[in-house]
Amino acid sequence: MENPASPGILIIDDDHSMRQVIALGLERRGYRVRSAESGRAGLRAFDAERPALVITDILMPDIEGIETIMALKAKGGPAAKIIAMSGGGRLVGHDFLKWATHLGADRTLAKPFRLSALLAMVVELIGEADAPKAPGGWRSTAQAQDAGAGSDEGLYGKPHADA
Amino acid sequence: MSVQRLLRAGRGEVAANHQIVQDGSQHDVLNQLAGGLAHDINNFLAVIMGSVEALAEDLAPGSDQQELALTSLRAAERAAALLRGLLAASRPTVSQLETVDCAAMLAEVRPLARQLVRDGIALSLQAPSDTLLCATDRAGLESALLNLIINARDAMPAGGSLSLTAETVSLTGRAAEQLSVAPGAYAAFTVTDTGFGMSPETVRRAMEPFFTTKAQSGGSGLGLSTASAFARQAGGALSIVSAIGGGTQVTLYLRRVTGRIAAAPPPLPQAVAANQNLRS
Repeated sequence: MENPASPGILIIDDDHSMRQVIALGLERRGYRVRSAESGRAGLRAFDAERPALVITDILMPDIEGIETIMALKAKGGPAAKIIAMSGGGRLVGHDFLKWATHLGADRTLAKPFRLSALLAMVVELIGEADAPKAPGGWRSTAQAQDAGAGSDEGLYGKPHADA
Repeated sequence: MSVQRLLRAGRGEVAANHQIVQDGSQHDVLNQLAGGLAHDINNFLAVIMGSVEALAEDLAPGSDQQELALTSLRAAERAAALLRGLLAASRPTVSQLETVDCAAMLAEVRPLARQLVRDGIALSLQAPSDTLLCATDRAGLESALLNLIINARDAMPAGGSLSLTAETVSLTGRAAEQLSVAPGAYAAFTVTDTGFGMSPETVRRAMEPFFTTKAQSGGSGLGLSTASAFARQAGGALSIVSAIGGGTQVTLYLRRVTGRIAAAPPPLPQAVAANQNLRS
């Protein structure tokens, strides 16, 4: 059950499992969650929904997270809250999270992290969601609102209709 | 980046009629492989930890089942800590990034550069008239550039010309791929000398730590390797173009930024701006 009054959060990560796990943690606490599998799909989603917070991975196909953050800040200005997360560099020596901070990310998290650490950051940035926890069956809920695999089309076509 | 490509980079591929290498030591290749592996393992651990933590929430507090879930969570955390320790031991410390106007910085470096070059060497420093902002470590950049100047000076014992230029370049497609950098705008600092140049073998090994052709005169073999490591840490790259008798050109690339983020968000990079068209 989604409460339209709850703060919206957009998750951008090319790893489907990662999106699922984060969505689960956030939905259980009453946040409205959308997710996208790439920087490009994430920017489209941001335009469509203007979420209160974006949680984005750094290393992704097509547009990397660094450029995604720059674009989000250009679109949303200081009001666009961003948490950047990264599992490290494909090119050793690049500190992507420092770059993310420099380019405007409000908080950063090195993977792996505890969901509770992420949730604490979310509360700090956009406050608690006052909606009740989502009922059981989180897996189908999280999957239903995810971007279609291999496509950034129809991202929000049926966010919860199938849940 | 594929393993094959990393290994090719490690061998230092020949491009055109020059030897062009970037990040060419085997050590770098192994570091990059380790980094790629760590990235993937961290992602797996993140999923495991998040899932187990969520599972633990559903289990009765204090139950054996919940304790097993929490034990799994702690084991995953120990694996992550072990991975961090291994990576920290295998790569240099990351420097402090700040927004630096590199055009102004070059003007500050000029007196020291003049002091470093000897009589008989014509020194030329050319910086853009506008600001050239980079997210970098100022002291690290100054040190890297001075190392390049010293190398160029030492390549011209009989004198010659030494120039240091700074300009904005766009690295896309194959150029970005060759340098193992993300496509985008970069500040390119190029030190060119008219010295005796390097053989292909020397170019191939030039960025290896402790490799030097100046052992007799006290060369440490760390100048180029340190400059290369600095460039990579700051999200850039180092390239060498050289030929025996034809002088040497070393270019240090740093990711350019277009504004101080805290004051005003930068304009969209070209690639992102292009993608915005998808909105309409």
